[in-house]
Formats: sequence, C-alpha cells, structure tokens
Amino acid sequence: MKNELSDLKVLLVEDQGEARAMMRNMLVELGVTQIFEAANGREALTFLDSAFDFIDIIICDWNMPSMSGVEVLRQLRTVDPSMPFLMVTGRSDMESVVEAKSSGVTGYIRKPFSSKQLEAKLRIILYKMAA
Amino acid sequence: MVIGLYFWACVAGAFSALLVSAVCAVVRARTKRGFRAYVAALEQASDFTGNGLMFFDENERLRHANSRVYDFLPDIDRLKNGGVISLHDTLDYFYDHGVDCDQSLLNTLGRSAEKLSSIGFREVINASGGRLCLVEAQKIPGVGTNVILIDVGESKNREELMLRLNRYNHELSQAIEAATSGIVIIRPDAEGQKYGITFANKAFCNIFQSGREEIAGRDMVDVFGCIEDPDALEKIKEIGRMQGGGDVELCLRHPVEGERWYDLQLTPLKDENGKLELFVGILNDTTELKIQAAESSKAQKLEALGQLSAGVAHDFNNVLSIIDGYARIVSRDMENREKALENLERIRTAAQRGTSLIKQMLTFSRHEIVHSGAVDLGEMVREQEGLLRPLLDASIQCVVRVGDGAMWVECSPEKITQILMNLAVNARDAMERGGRLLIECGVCPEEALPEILQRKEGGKGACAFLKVEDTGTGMEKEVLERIFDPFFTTKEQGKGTGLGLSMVYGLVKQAGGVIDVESVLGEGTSITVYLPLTDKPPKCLSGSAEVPGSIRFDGYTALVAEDEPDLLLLVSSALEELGMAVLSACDGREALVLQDEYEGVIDLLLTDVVMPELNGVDLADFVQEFRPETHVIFMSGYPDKGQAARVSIPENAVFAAKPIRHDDLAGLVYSKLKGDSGDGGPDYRAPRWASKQDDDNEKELAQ
Repeated sequence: MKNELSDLKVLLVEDQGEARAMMRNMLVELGVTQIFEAANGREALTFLDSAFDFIDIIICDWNMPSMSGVEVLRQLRTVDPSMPFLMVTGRSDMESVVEAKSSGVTGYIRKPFSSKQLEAKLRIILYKMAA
Repeated sequence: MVIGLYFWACVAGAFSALLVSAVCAVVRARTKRGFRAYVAALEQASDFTGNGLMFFDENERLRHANSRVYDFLPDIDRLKNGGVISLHDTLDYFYDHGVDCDQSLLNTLGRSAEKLSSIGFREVINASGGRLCLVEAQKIPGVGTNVILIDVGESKNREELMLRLNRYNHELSQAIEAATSGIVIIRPDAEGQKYGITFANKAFCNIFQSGREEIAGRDMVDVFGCIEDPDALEKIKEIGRMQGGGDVELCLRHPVEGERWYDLQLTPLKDENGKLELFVGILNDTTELKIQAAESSKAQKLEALGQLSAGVAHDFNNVLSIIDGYARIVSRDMENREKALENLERIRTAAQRGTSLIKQMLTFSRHEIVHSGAVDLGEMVREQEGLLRPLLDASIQCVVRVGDGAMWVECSPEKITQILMNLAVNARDAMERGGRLLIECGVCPEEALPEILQRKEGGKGACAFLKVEDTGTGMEKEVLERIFDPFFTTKEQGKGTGLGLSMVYGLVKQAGGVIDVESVLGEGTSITVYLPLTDKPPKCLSGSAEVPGSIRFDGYTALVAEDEPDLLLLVSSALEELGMAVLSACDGREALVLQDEYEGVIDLLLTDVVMPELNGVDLADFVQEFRPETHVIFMSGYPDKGQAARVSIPENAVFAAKPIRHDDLAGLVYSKLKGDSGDGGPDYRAPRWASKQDDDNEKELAQ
C-alpha cells in the first residue's frame, strides 16, 4: 500500500499531554513525520494564523476546556471552509455524531482508537479531498 | 382643609385678642360710662369669634365670663371663694388641666400668636367633651386681665392623624426603598390596554439600570422590553390581559455581573367591585438560587456517578488485575515465546471484557448507537438457553418453553440477550436455596395483553412476550415499586450494581415494549416483557445451499468493491436478486469512504483483491477495524496464495475465484452468514478454482 501519509503535515490539537503523545506516536508509526502540536484551541488558532499554508490536516479533540473542538472548527471554517478536520470524540452517542457531522468536520474518530483506525480515517479524508 | 382650619383658628384667636384690646381701649377712654356697656361689647365680640372670654379686673377678680367659657369649663364655678373667682385660682386651674402638646402643635399655635404681643400666659388645657383649648391671658395695665379660650380640639385631632399618617408613610417608603427586592406599582389605563408604572423603588431601578424618572410613567411592556426571553415578556403581557396574578422568570443581562435571573411576582389589587386598580410587582434575584440548584443537580449526578463507579469498580478491578497480572507474567516469560503469546491472548480477553463493561455502561446511559433490525424472539431464546445454563446453580431447575412459529420483534439480538440475561440472573439471585426458573416466550393473544399495552395507541394487536419466572423469595410492595430505579439493589454491597433491571427497562422501552411484574412474597416473581410484533422484513436467510436457486438474503446489506465496472454491476445485481441491499464501490478507496458514511450494519464485504491505491485486503482490514461484525469474502482472478498471488490474503479468509458462478456466490455468502448465526450450517467456504471447461455450461458472473 502506497504510503500517502508520509508527506502529510498534521496539526494535533489535544489538551491532555499523554493523549497527545499517544496520538503523536501513532502518527509516527503511520509514517507521518511533520507533526505540529497545540495544547488548546487558542494555541492552535494562533499557530494557524502564522502557519496556515503549512498544514494539510488538523486532528482535534472535541472536549477541551475553555475552547472546545467545535469552537476551533467554527473559527477555522470562517477562514477556510475546506481545511481537512478530523474530530476526535470520546462520545459515541448518535447525537454527538450527528452534531460532529453537521458542524462541518471532514471526519470524526471515536476514542479509544487504534493506529489502524486512525490511518483509515486519515485515508478516508484524503480520498474525500481528492474526489 | 386642615391647614384651613388652622388658619381660621389662628385668625379667630388673633381677632378676639385684637377685639378685646380695642374694647379695653374704649373702656380706658370712657371709664365712667358704665360697666354694662363694656360687658355687652365683650359678649358681642365673643359671640362673633366663638371663643371663650374672661375678664378680670385690676384686683384680679373675675368680672365676666361669657357662655362659651361655661361651655368649655362647666365646673369653673367651683373656684368661687366667697362668691368670687380670682385670677390666681383660675390660672392654677388652667395649670392643673394643662396637657403635653406635640412640638409641632405648639409650633403651629405659636405661629398663630406671633402677631400678638405681651401674652402673659399660654397653655393648652383639657376642656369638657375631650376638647382641647388654648388659653391665653393678657394683662392690660390699668384695666385688668383678659383670658381667651380658643377651641383647638378638632385641629389637634386632625394634626395627630396627619402626623401619624406622615410617620407611617415615611417609614413605609423608607422600608420600600431599603428593600433588596425590586418593587413596582403598575396602574392600568381605563381601557386596560396600557400599564403605566407609577412607582418603582431603588432596587427595581438598579435592576433595570435606569433612573426613577426614566421608569416612572412608562408602560410596563416598554420597561420589561429589555428582557431577552420573548416567552417571559409574552407571559407578562398575558398576566396583564388576564388581570390575574402570576410568576414569571426573567433573565436580564447586567453590564458587569453578566446574566442574572429574576422571579417577578405580579399581584393584582382590585377594588370592592372587583375592578383592577393596580398591579404590585415584586422582583427577586434568583441567580444564586439557580446556581445552587444547578450545583445540587450536579452533586446528585456526581453522587449517581459515584454509585455507578462503586458498582462497576469491582468488576473493572478484576479486569485490570487480570491485565496487570498477565502483563507481568509476559514480561517474565518473554524468552518463552509460546507461553508469552498465550498470556497475551489472556490479556486481550480481559481487555475485551473491559470493553464490554464500558459498552454496558453506555447502554445504561442511552449513549449507544442503536442498529435496529428485527429478530425472531423465539430463536433468540433458544440460542441463549445454552449460555444461560452455566450461570445457574445445579439446585435451580431451568425450564425453557418457546412457542410455535416465528415471532419477529424490532430489537437487536444484543438487546434481547441483555434483557434475558439480566432477568435470569435476578431470578437466580432470588433463589439462593434453589428452585425453578421458567423462561417462556411466544405470541400473546390480544385479549391477554396487559392493560397498559392495550391503552397504548397502536398497542393493540398481538405482541411477543418473554416471561422469566422464579420460585424465589418474592418482593415486598416497596421493593416492587423501585426495582427499575437505577442503582436500586437489594443485593449485598459489591454484588449488584442496581443497573440490571433499569437497563432492561430502558431496552424494553426503546423497543416500544412494556414490562409487567408480579411478585408474591415467599412464593416468587414473574417478570414478563411484551414486545410489539413487527412486519418489517427481518434479516432472513432462507433456502438451502443444497438446493440451487432457493437461497434468499432478505434484510442483509453487502458492500461490493470491484474496479471492473461490468463485474461490479453483475455481482451487485446478483446479490440484489438474492434479496440483499447493496452498496457498490468502484475501488477500494470508494468502498472505504462509503462504509464510513453508511450508518447501518454492513453484513458482508465482497471485495476484489487487486485494486489500485487500496487493495481488497487492506480495505478489509480497515473495514473490520470499525465493523468487526462484517464478514469478508475476497474475489480474485489470481490464486490466493503462492507465487502467482499478487496480494497475499490472510489465513482462513474466504476466497472466491473468478469467474464466479451465481449459485457458487449464493452458496458462499450463505455459508458465511449462516455460519455466523451459530447453528453450524454447511461450510461452503472452500476456495474453488473453476476450470474453464467446467464453466462452459454454467452461468458465469465474471471472467
């Protein structure tokens, strides 16, 4: 399988250090080398302000204090309506899935997830973007 | 009016005094003109003013008192000493009858006398009939002394009343102004259309961040217009229209404090004819109460979470100790690879138990994704029988009765399993000394349905029932009423979470059913679940692999990935002909996206092995990561293994070689899905390489 992920530049937004490290490891395992990290929504938006063109995809936790993933997405969408955005959610109820979809995410992935699932989701997003 | 009376009292007093002075001047000028004429003049003067007049001569002997004096002081004659009343005794009498006056009264009286000079004596005395008299004595040198008695009784009473009223008003307005609640008085106009604010206290003005002059006179609706909630404003208008009282909850945005909540109580005040005079509104800040209520609700949730955690902790600790224990052994056994693998498998099993526990909790909190479908209740019960028996002690006799015929209900197999398991485990726990557990299911005739189901709209008609009956301890009425409450348990600490029956209740309710419980203390309990029968086509495997053309897959869904368009069409059509719903994808990538977007269950993935970008094996891997329940069948024109295989497919994978015959495909899918239903149907999975010759006379699906 061709590794389309190796050139990917990912911005990882997650407030919990351990979870962020785990996702980073998974991405490394998948061959992603360019990973940028933000510990909260504000930091992510500040980063995007200066390095918007660097990033191919944003992986963002839904549930973060002070600024939720949905709020990050909302602010992002005012600037870029098509930036690939993978929402990481710990919730698995139907309502939150519907909410995630309607808020303009490109994809969502439920915690806990395996690196294989993360890979599938990243690929799905890439395929969708290419289509 | 009162001021007018004062005025006249004062004027009268002053006039009398002036008159007396004038008369005295005449007397002085014409001393020898006879005393009678003088007295007559006095009488006339006193009659004119209505005041009492007394005249004492130079020897201080009373020479005359008019009739008003006797009116005021009927007992004055008792001062006579030797037939004469002296000025001295009279003044003593006045002192004895003096009253303590209000300062304000004295001031008033004082002002009246300001214009008079040389007042030698002034006192307010109690006169007859409860009246008060102002007594003023004026000495006229060379003539004698005049004493005037002025009736101030009426004015005094009114003054007192006014004073009291003023004091009361003052205190009242102070209290209203000091109140922390907002107070407002609203008066409707004659037509009852507008409601003008006639008064608003300080707190009310502060709440609306307006000055008193800004609020007074404005219409109520206008002032309350800044309320953000249109429903609250509408309710206020409604109260005005209906002229009744009521409570309204308001939310106002304060520039500094942010959002504040208030309770507005509007009370109508009506006259004796029942006509609305005004509304009194009391506005109380309920923000703190609201915060407290939210805190309390949060505390209750936390308490519930605590109880849930306590219940689950026991099971979860077990899972964690298994994981921890075996992980330790694995790290020790790493040299012994085989044993390490075996222990790793145990760790995985424990982790799966943990996952299932979490799933159970999610089910409880109704946060699961529900894949609806129809199942045959009878078949489910028969399948579960084998799983149930190991749960029961040998002392419990288990009888399972399944009615004839299919009983399709709209519910997932997992839910039926949970309902049955929970009911059975509860029944078991109620029979510690053994007994009989009866599990029965069937179709319940309409007349035998419980009342609650008959009352439900559309609830009429046959239902499937599942009854779990024990011969255990039974329940008291109090327990019976609470058995479906979350966290309610009669079991020992750590033995039950109290979630089992509440979960059953939730699951049955989700499936549109009802639960009926009967229990007799000491005799046992019978819990019956009624689920409506459904016409929805259930997943139904029918036919036989041995009889070509008889197989059907109604209600199943397949995802087909094939990069050869004609073949994709052929395979998809074939599966549709067999009753399946088919999602078609022209390559692996499209299939991966399709399954991501599809919310329902995908029973089967039929995929080509060799496809550009994403091959079938990787696709299957990805799909099964999210959908472990999906069965996979690979199809390829290449051999599955060996050097000719361009992509190696996993061990034990089901493989269909192209070209695929219609009946072979049906048989293969049948065996895969049937094998999953647990009754060990014929294994049809042998990968078969059809030779070209074999195919000549057979229907080919593909090349």
